[in-house]
Amino acid sequence: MIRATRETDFSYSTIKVRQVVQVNFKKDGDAVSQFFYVFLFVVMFPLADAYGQACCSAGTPLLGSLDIGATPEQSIHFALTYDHNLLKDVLSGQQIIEGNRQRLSQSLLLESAYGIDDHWSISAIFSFIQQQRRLNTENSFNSREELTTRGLGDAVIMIKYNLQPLNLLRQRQIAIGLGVKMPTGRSDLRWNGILLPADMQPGSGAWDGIAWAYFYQGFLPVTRINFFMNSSYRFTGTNNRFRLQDGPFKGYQFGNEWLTTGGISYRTDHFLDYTVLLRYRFLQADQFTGAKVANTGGHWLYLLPGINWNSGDFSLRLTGQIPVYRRLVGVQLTTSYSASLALFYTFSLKQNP
Amino acid sequence: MMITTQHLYILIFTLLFHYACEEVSGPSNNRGNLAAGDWLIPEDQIFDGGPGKDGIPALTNPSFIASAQVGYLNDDDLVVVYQWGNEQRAYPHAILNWHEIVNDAIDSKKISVSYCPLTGSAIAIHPEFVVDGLPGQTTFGVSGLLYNSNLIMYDRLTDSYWSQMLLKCVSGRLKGTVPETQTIIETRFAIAKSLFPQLKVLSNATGVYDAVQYSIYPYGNYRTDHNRLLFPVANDDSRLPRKQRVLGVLTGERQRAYQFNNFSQSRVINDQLGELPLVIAGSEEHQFMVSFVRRDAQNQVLNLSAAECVLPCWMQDEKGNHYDVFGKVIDGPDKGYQLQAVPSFVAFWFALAAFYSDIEIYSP
Repeated sequence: MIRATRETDFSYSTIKVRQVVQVNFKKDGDAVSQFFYVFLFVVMFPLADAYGQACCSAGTPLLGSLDIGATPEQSIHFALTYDHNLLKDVLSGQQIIEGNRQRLSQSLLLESAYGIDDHWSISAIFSFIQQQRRLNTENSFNSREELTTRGLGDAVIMIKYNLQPLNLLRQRQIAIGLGVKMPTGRSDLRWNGILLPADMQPGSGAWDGIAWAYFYQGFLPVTRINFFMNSSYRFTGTNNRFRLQDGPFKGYQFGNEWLTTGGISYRTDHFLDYTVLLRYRFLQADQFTGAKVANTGGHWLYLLPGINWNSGDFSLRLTGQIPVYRRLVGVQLTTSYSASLALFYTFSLKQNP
Repeated sequence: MMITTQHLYILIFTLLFHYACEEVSGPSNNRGNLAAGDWLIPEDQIFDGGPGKDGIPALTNPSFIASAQVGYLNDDDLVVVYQWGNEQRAYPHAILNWHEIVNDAIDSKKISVSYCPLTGSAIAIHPEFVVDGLPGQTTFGVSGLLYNSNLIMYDRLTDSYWSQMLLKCVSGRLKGTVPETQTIIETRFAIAKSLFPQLKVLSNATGVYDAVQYSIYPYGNYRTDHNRLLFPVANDDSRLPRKQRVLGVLTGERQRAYQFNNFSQSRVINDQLGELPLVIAGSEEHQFMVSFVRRDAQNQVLNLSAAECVLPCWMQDEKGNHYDVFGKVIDGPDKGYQLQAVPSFVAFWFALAAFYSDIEIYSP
């Protein structure tokens, strides 16, 4: 068992911070691994049974999970996130219109990060994706024509640098990062021999570059509210999703993506934090045969209310994502709402003084 | 044997491993008999377009209104006109863009009008086939699959799959069946109204989507941007701009494409394609082209020319017969005679060239 506690005690009268780190190592049967397995079971079992619902192109929320700052020195950080994204709204520009299908995108993301020193850290995100599509109503065969795909998704490796490590006196952290998204997920799944569309594939089939920045500011002892913001930009590569040897149709490029999330959190006297975030997403149109692909690209603004439950080395976060503004290129099926549940665990490798 | 925690973990991970390895699971409760390797067309060139089967809902037995009552179309909007007996019906692109197939019936005679927005191709067929030695009727739906960017339909009687522009069933129990195509006129709404004063038009009160939605074209500038394609095609022919609308005339051995500018000097073209004498009637101004076999009831070759007469009268032959745009003699010694249709339809050039790589381009 690896057990670590981190206590941070803030007093209103003086800025006093105390961190206590304990590390205990214990072998098989420990509580951490048991909790991990049970959590996997709880999350995966509904995924495995959810055969019949929903479809459409959401993409893996890899960028959206990059909202954790650089990992402290000699610390290891784990985050396991389940994301549930229902796409049922059909928009033409900003106008909601009617459609005949929906999609449910479910993702399981595992992030692990290691703080090398005060400035440098490295993180990796692995994903497992399930996409489901179905009709909104039954067809003449009394069928919803449900189709489900699942598999390992793409992965991200990122190097982060603390321009300003978290200083408990100034309560500020500024970090930047560069990373790469690797096409570890399959992008050529077929049903009855026929290639499925990109939005039903677990992976993108392309290497992408990612630039990332993070800012955090606390305001103790004036207030328990703190502010944080992160921004990431994904430079997309080209894939060969139609599996052609040559010719003008060989390359398909998803649009570059810019994602910015900012907001505040408030820590109560108990174990709860409340968060309110805004997330802006800009997606360029896809490119194919030297032209923009119709019905791709757009602007989204989401409201993300959330609640964190903290207990020692663990914290559990529940977040919703509600669209508040959307301006899409052409006609697109897009997110009606999404929700995510994340489990965090951080422990330090430093010896106790 | 006691069940320990380790056994439970092994069981959980076995289940997880099983589900993690299972990649695709499909429709489980319909009669779909789609099977890999069962196609007459290259399977690796068939793509799932995204919406899935019936994700684009075909219309069945829709309602029609008089053309004078239509308020949702502009005069320049394209419509597909079909004639049965003395009745003409118009199926606007504005609605076909969202449904792609209309299953209709005029005087109990069934007709399925299909239009693929990605290939700009409109085709009408009688949905009557012989199945297991017995005649049967059916309706068509949108399978969600594409070949050369073109619609693949499925029939609800046998769940067989049909390539629209190949004019053939390409998978399923009816594989190899060639449907009976019907002559249609694709033209501007204003022209359709002047050609056929009693025209009935498909109502935008379909009961599927809100009527306002049909004023939206769902593919941006796809139909005018020659660079924009959404899926690969087998043969990318650059002899003409990709999105130029042409009439493709298809015989068993040869195919030929006609352009609207071929009709700048004359409204009628007498042509020969192999052994087949053809007449092509068309108008660049009115944006329509249609083709027939130019033989009379005695199988004699005819020479037709533009007629000076009131629409829908369009052409005349050397015997003094006057023909309407549907190739029917409306006045003259052979009144009532119908020129034989030849498989043909208007489509984007890139699609016709993809399906028929040896297609010729008409040159006067």
